[in-house]
Amino acid sequence: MTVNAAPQTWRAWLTAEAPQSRLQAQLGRAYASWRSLAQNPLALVGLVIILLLALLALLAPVIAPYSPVEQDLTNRLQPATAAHPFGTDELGRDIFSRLLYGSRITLLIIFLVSIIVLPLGLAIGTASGYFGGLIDTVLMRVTDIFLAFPRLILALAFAAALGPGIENAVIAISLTAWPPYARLARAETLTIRKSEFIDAARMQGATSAHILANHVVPICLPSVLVRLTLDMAGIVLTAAGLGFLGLGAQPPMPEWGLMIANGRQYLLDQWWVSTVPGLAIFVISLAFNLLGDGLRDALDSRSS
Amino acid sequence: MIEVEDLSVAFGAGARRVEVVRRVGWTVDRGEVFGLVGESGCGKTTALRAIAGLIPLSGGAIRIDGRGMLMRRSKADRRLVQMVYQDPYGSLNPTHTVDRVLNEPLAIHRLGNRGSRIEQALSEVGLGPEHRFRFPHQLSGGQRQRVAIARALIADPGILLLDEPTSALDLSVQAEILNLLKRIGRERALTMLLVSHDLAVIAHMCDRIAVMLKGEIVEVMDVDQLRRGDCRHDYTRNLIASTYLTGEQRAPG
Amino acid sequence: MSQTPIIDIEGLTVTYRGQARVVTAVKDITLALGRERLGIVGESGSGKSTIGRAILKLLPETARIEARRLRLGGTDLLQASERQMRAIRGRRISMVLQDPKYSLNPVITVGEQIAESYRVHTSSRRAEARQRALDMLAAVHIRDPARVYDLYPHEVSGGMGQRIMIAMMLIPEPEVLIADEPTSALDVTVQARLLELIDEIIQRRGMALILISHNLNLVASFCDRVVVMYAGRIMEVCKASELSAARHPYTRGLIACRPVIGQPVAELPTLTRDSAWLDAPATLGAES
Repeated sequence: MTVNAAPQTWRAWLTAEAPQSRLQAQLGRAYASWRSLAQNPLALVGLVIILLLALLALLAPVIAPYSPVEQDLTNRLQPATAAHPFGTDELGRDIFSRLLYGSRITLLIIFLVSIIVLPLGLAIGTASGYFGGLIDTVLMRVTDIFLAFPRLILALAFAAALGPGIENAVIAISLTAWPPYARLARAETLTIRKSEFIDAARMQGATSAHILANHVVPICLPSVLVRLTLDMAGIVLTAAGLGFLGLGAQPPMPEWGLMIANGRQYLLDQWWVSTVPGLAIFVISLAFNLLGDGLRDALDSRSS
Repeated sequence: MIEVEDLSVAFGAGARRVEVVRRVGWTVDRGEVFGLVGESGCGKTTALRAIAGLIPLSGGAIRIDGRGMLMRRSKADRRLVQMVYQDPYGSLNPTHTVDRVLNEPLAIHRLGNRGSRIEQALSEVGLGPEHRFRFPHQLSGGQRQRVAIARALIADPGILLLDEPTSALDLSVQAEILNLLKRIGRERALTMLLVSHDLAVIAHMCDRIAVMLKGEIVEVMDVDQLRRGDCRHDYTRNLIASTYLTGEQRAPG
Repeated sequence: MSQTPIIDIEGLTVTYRGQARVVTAVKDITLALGRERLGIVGESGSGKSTIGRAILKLLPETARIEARRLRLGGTDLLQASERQMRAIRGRRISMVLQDPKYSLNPVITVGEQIAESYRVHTSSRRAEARQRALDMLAAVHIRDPARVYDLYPHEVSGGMGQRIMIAMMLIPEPEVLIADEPTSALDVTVQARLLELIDEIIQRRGMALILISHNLNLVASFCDRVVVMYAGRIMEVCKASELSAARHPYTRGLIACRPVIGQPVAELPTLTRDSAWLDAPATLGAES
């Protein structure tokens, strides 16, 4: 396994054939996945963009030259200048600052949707696949019902019923986004549920909950995670779409979809008002897709 | 120790119901090694899985230590019967280290001293501490099978079920694993039930043998009878002859 | 074996390009196949299957074949193009693999597949090919060829599937049959009959056979010569009849570690591998 003649000690430790502890074994495994991800330059670009965006979001109050909401009506619809690198919008707010604060909202939506959709999809999918029979039939028919509606329309309906607002947009997106993950988790579960290591755990006296948590979910997780990363662009777009239609974030929040909607009427003369947040959505969607592709390759090659 | 009486196992329902095991029965004494031999599809593995409590029986009874066993069993009953599987690649979770594999039974049965028990179990099957934190893909087939044996033994079972434990392994590795199983069985006074298609392996390991054909037992004999070729049923005779002919064995002389 | 060899291999080395390193599957093998039954024996990873596939140049993209000589009769296989190889595979050298399930097309009847394999190499008419296929099914001792002709692969048992594979591989009348673990997926009672069948056809047609197997004794009872491989090298070549007098410790270890019904032992002898085997030249038997 010695890759170089004189490997750095930390790398030797990570790639050791005989790890000395649980921690070292887990880290070594993570390192192997990372190396295979790192071989894909496009995936790294995606990752760097996402990390950069997260950093900008975190440091928004420090970096942003202006408040995202404070109006300056004397400075409306200014093109890009040194003072306003992306210009100002219809109420004279600095678009650059709004963009920075807006990334916080986008990342928050992504985070909230992920922590709702992942457990929900995994729980329903693995239970359905593992138990089979009546449980499987019922859970999968419910999934089918949710899948039968077009996603944006269903999200619209939920958002309309629950009322506009970011929390409700998150709930609406999550409610419509989980079915494919349940399907995927179920398919993965079906391929391993007859495995001898599952039999072995049953023979040790393990409960179904133990087997699901310790054996099934960890094996399903990578593919569900990859799928989620690839879907992230769609989630960002749905969130922006809801904002654009006035059902997501409400003014004066600097949400990107909302910013595009507000700039709509100035599109011909002051194009930057809508275009800049549009580009931001494009960049983050692309970044997630690149990362997702790379993750898929990295996690696949590990299994072989 | 194990009594199997009129055991039947069926799959499917209605018109598509297939009875894979039909009213088979035998008893295995404490400390005895009993072999179940037959060709693919004869129901030997199915019968073993029913005894293991992995699939439901459709008729008859399985008694262990005199107590009737169904598919649903208490933790203590589960602990009593353990199994080693055919495929050393499929029987270990690819995402678990050896340490985690061996820790699982200890955690389920709430046994203490886990670290030292794991090290002891590894050394009993001929593995060292350097193997403890490896993943299955870092081990050879034989080493994986040793881990599977260690997992079966770590919570101190009384009965070990062996489902073709060496058929996926190379010959030289098969010899090592058979020696290991024989030694551990003797040292721990285990009652063992071995399923195999290889008559030579069965003859090497077992005290008594049942020959299965199409879901039924055609003959039960002891190992001396098998070695002498002293069998009553034509099928058994054919099986022994083929074993010699195809060089699973060399014909004597 | 005084005549020129059918397959002549000298200094064959096959390497696989892995992610981090290059793996040598077969190292510097020299082997000549006459009109005989040659067995290649070894454990998993010994490179025994790689030799068979290297002869047919059926190795994955990452593999690299090097040899001083690799010839089939007058044809230089090293220089042969993929197009020439396609004409050789099946027509001059056939290969039977372990599991017929993966080698047969599931949506075409077995009879048509056999007829097709004849037509590809002979450009004969459909009716003639059908008749040849029926004859071939009879030749592999299938009782009711006309009925079996119309069966789909999932409708036949493992043993019959393997007979059908053999019929399909032998119908273009190749000079060499490479059988890679042809019976390992089958029950012992079926194995013996299938090997006898292969043997009968080989003998009748005067073909050469390379039988690749992990099973030393099986190879010994059906071949004339045995090549024992370990870690990509040839450990020993000897006459099958003299295998019990094999000299190489690896061969002896392989023979000894198998349990035998009539000879009970308390403990099976195990193999101790010696890294010196990798450097030492092959122990040659009385012959070759």
